[in-house]
Amino acid sequence: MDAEGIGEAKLHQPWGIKMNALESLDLHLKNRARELERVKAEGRKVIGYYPGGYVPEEIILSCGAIPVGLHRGGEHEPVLIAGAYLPRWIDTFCRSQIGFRVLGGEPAYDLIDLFVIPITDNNVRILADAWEFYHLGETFKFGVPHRKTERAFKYYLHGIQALKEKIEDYSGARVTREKLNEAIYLCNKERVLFRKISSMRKSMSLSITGKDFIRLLHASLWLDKGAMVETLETLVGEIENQKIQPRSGPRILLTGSTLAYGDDKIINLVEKAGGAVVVEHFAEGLKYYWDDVALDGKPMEALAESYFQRRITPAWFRPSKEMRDFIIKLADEFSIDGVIWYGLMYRDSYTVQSTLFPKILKDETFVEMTRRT
Amino acid sequence: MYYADLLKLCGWEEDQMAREKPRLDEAFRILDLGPGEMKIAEGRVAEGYDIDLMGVRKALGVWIGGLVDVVLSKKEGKKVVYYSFPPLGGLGGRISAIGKGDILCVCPEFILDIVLGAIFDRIDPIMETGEEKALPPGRALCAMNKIRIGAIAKGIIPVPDLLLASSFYCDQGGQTDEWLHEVYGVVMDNVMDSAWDEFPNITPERISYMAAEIEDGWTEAAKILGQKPDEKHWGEYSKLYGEFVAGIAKTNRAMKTDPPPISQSNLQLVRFLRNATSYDRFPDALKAIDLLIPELEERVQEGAGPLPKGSPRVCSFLIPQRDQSVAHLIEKAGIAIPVTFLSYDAYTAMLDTTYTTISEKSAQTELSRGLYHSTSAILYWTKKAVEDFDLDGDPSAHSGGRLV
Repeated sequence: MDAEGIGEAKLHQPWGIKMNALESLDLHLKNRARELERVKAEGRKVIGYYPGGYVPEEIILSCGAIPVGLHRGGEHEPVLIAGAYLPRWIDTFCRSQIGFRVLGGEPAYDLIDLFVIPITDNNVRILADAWEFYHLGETFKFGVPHRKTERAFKYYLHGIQALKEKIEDYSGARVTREKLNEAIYLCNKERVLFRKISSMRKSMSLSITGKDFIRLLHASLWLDKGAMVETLETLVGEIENQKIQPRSGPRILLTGSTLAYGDDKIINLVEKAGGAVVVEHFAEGLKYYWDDVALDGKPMEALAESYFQRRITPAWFRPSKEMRDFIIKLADEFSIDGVIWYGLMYRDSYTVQSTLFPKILKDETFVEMTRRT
Repeated sequence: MYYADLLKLCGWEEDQMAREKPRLDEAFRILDLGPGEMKIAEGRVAEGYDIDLMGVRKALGVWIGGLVDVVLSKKEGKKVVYYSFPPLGGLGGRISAIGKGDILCVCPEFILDIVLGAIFDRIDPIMETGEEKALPPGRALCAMNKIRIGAIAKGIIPVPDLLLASSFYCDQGGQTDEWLHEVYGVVMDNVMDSAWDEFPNITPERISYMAAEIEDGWTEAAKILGQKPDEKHWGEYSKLYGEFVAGIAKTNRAMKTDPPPISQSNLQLVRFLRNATSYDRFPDALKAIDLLIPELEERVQEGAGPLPKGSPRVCSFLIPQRDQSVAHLIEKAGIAIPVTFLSYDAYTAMLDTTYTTISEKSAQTELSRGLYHSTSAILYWTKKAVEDFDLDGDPSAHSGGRLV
């Protein structure tokens, strides 16, 4: 395990393109752990959360606390260590979370005061159970139903309201409508910028590599929101002003259950083989940016609308058609040549879906899909 | 009748065999079970089961009859309803109360697992078909669901009119049924988000959510079944199944003694008849448990059982039913399994409900039983079982791939 942790060990690699914004992002990443230690010493709470797209960061931000997505993965040792805590047929990302916490040395995992875990499926449930049973730190759980119905929406809303109360108690600050709207505004800005950069990847002249974009999505779960937004704004300007040559090579859509921070092998393989990941869709591990939160209604309801009702469903929802339709839409919009379904071992809702999907995809788009675990 | 010896061994009587001969011939033809397979099955039954007990033999026969019923159901003009395991308590019974003998409502993989698996040792090709079609090997995918998909794909059992997929406990039931068909399946959802140690308290939100899901499930199912179960059906179901439940309680009392009078794997075979047999076959299930109870009581009087008095006693989540040798391996090591999580019935007496609708009561009951509530609830009841049955440990075993 690298003692320097997330900020320096992983993201401090050369970017695919040279831009001032990315260099300044490197600085933020390099300093993030120390920055968190400092603000924690000042009494602010660091709230870790499971990065499945169901925890509204806005609630945490509006209490003056700091949201941190626990999204590390791609390493063998934490999975191995977790074997003492969890059965082996739990998916490797969930097992990694236990491993990183137990091993120490990763700032995000060491610094959190509370771990917020939306219970999305059985793997996550068991991760939460083990975290609690082995006293690895305080947790807060809330449920994510598996169907999009009015009652499911209410259940989710009830869950995030309980989360709000918990964070208020924890931080000693009240979530006011004004503060929540400010946080929503900031997070919306980030989502808009991500969509803008993502949209640029539709072009045959690629402005940013898939690997770099994924690194940005990972960084957003770890960095200060304001700094992230500032960086993305600068980056968009720089991309718009650069001259890029058209590139050849297959355009790949990468999808699956989880793309953890540090799980680079599949992207490296694609890029080394001359392909380009031009769009990705994962249930976990990456910042979800496809939708904004409305600012003109009741903020908690607006959060539930965006984070639950309008969010593209993961494979553990029934039915899964919405997810499949979304991938087909992306394949079309991004002129995809092939889809790689990157499933984690034992995240088997995705295994089941991956047996259904290739034919549907081929019928709809003529695009081939390959599965990798 | 090349199957007569096996069926006699499994508690069938001559007149029953004669009466059902055309059905048996047809079902065994579809299942491709000839004289050779019958001989193998006789050996497996004699080796794997406690055939000194007529109750056990009778239960084996009910399972075989149950498979015949599923295989022929569509040909015999029945509406076919499948549910996934573990089901909502009494789900099959209540649907049976609506449809009487016109609806066959079963968990088919359970029947296939016991009959084609444990008795005939012919389940592997079915499971492999399930793996080829949908649920690949080497993953955390439930073997029961592979059997369901494989058996339908191979045409051994019919495509149902309705799938009732409960995702109360794990993600796989709903996922599998979605794979089978995205239209005619009804999925009922549950969210297992309780705080550790919350149990035995249950938040009203969880009961309310699950009850509404059950209610929706019944509403959808009524489009096929003709109506939703009401208090009358609940009463009929309770009357029909109450006797069986009382029988289970008696077998549990017998299992508290030292030594336990029967191997848990044999007892499980009888006990699960409640969950898996059709309406038509249920009187035979009652006979099986009625036969078994005095047999067990006699053994208790004699201090007899498969293991000597004073043997270590453990709990298991459940007993692998497809392969008796797993349970026997534990017993050959001198360890008794007087109770499983699924057989422990103390919770059935604890409900004092203020809920009024059938769905709310169902949800409260199911969540109180722990399995659909949380890991900590499972531990809660397991600890109670340890005290109640004077146990020494719990080497949990459960269906491969199910996350507990």
